[in-house]
Amino acid sequence: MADAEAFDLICDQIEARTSLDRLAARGTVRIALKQAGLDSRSVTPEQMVVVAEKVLAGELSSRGIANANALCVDLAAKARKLVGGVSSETPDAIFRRLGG
Amino acid sequence: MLDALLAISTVAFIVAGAVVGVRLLRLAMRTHELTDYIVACSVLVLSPITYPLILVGTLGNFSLDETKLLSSISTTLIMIGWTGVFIFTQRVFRSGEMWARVFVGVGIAVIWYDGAAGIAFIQAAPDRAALQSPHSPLLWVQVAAIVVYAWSAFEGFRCWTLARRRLALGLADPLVVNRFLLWGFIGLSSLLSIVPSLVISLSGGNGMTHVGSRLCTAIGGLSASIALQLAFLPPAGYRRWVEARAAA
Repeated sequence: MADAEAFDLICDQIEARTSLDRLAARGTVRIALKQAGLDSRSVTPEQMVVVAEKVLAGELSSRGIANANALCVDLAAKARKLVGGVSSETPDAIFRRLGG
Repeated sequence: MLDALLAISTVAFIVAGAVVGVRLLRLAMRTHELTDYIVACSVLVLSPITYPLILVGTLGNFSLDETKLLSSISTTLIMIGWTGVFIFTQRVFRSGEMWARVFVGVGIAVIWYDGAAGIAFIQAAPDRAALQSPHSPLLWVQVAAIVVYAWSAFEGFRCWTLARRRLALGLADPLVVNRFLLWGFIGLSSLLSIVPSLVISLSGGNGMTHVGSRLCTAIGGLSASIALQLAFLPPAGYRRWVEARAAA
């Protein structure tokens, strides 16, 4: 199962705009997602926005990335542009619906 | 005492299954989502349809041929219900993962192969005693059910653990988080209803009459009924309690 579009977008941006290489960028975002109880394959753009705003800055700062907060605000804005696109059903969405 | 507990558990299981199953079916008819139809049909088939049928077949005064017919129908319905549990678990928790599709395919094949053998056994039974033998087939159907309920419970508890982290970030609904936990309990309760009976039967006893097995079946059925009701048709008070706990 491939990684989600929002995950790929954020990783590409981090790789392009910081000193982290591809592996480190993806690993950092995966760690942030794990802290938030999410998965790179199923994360939705809405969830990625919140992770970028609330979790990712700390992870990037701990890896010596300067201006991590400002970068994450921008990353969240980019992820927000994906909101409303095609997304697969997550367990959350199904269990929310089944609750009525 | 045990008989009363079993009776309460049975009624609770049938009523909860009927109420929740109908609500899920109405939801599915509105959303037209295959996943919703699958869970609705599984709940309805396994609880308010098959269970009374088994009771009628066991307690009723039927001829041998009529008993064989009822047993064959209830066995087929159980196979349909457990097939639904396999498909639902894969579609919800592991959609797009190839190993899960293969796993589900194997599970369903086991259920239908062994189930067909079980129905052939029922049809060939020379008398009522053979039908009620604790050593009748359907062993692998029950093993498949244990596997799928264990898988389902694992996925429920796994999603609950992950969803709790999302809840802290405002990324999850407290009721959905709680629903994952209850789904895990439904799986565990179902295991409690099946495993002791099967283990006792395999060790030479009769799981249908063993006191410990009957107690486990009663507790499992009762807890599954409560969890099913709280998960899919929670009372307003329970909703408020879950939301208040999350906000605290």
